[in-house]
Amino acid sequence: MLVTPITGASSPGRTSRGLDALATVTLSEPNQRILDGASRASGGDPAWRARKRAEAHDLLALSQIAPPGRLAVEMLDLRESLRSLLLMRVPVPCLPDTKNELRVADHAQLGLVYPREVLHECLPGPSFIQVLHPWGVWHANVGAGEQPLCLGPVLPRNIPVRELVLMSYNALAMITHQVNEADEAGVFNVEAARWWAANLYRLPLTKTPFLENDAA
Amino acid sequence: MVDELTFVDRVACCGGPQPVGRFSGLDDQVAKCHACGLPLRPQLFYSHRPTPATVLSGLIEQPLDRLGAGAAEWVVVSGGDRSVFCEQEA
Repeated sequence: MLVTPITGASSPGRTSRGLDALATVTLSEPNQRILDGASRASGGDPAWRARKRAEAHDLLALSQIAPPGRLAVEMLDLRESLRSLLLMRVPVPCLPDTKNELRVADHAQLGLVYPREVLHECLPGPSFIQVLHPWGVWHANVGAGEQPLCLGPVLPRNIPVRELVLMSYNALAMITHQVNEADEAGVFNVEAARWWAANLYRLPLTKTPFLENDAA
Repeated sequence: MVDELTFVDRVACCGGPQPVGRFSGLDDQVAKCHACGLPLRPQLFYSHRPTPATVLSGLIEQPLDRLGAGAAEWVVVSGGDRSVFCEQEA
């Protein structure tokens, strides 16, 4: 999968322990309150509730170890699926203007849904993330209209939330990309795929990994 | 859980989120964007199946036909580790 190893840790408490140690990260007081509040309303059987709490902890911990401003958890809901509203600092390609100049937003608001089915099924790539802002995303793997973000043809059973977040970053910044409409994996926006296939020199939109600070 | 339907809390488009508050099939049009006029279908982030009671909130006392689910043939109501299956009489 697309887990990026942590390099260049700038603060030992923040990033040096790596993604595998997310479960051991002590949450900040506000994040702990968010987790506790969402857990109180959590629904489902005990195993699903425990899994959602663990994934939600990792998500909040990821927002803590990431560079400031990279990821904010704006809402967390564990009532049924794990649902979270995320604000991510990432370049997002948007519909070119009338002069064919690409516009690039610097943040994305993402709606994450992590359904119970993920425990025992391989789910299609667009099952998890919806780009809620900006509108008019110009991306081969973001569908027009409701803007589902396709993270691959089919994703593995039990894929962790943290991987979905990292895959979303890499996909939106087009660090990983699939713009070949003839590829059997397919594309979600054929027009955008064609545009990007003719503009590959613009990729990626950033070379900065998720866990590193953006270049000044 | 109401038949094969999903509860659409709201939908979003370039004009921002719009409330919907009813059950719908996944491919049904549930609204039009008030800014661009695009027909909107249920969206991943704002749709629920099963639907937590707290999402239904003030609508929970409403008859199903007022919530777009008048033709539903069955409903499953779950709470804790128990569920009740209700089926429409033939």
